[in-house]
Amino acid sequence: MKNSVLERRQAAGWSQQRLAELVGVTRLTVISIEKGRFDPSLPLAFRLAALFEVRIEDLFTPDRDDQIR
Amino acid sequence: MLARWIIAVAVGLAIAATTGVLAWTISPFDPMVTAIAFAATALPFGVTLGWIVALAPRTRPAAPRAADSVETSWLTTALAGTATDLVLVVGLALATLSIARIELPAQLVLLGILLVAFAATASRYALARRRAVRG
Repeated sequence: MKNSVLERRQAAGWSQQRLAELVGVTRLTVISIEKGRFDPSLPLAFRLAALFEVRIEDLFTPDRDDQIR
Repeated sequence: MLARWIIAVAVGLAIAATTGVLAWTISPFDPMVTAIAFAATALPFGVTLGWIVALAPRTRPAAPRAADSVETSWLTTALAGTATDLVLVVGLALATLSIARIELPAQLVLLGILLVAFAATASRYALARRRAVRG
């Protein structure tokens, strides 16, 4: 799953550690999400979307393989 | 907070005393010295356990939500892989020992299984972490 967490975090001027604290996860979790190596749980995705004040589908977009054919 | 420290130390003393009495009961040589040595060795571990039970819940920072963390995901993957590794290693070892007609003590076998499990989990976790962070 692709996401725009990195861009939005940088636009907000937060460090990875700061974002991790805001959503209650570890910094490695933030790093992994930004690199697209870890798909967050639904509650975490909602928390991230709420934090950036966007809809969840604006923050996360499915890969071609994840889409319904 | 003082009361909690007293509880922690009391837990430590209780564990040390229990260990000492147990050592005194079963030791074939010089029971008193053995009991003191075992009690003294057990005391710090007992106090640490008391600290974990009585103090840590009040003093440690809130842990990140485990279900949301990537570390939990890595550990789950590592443990799943470890199960496969154990089946392979134990199967191969059993075949080898059966063919060679070697008999090993049960303690050694269990220790070997435990070490393989630790090594497999640690290496798989480290690999998953490295892939995710470096990728």
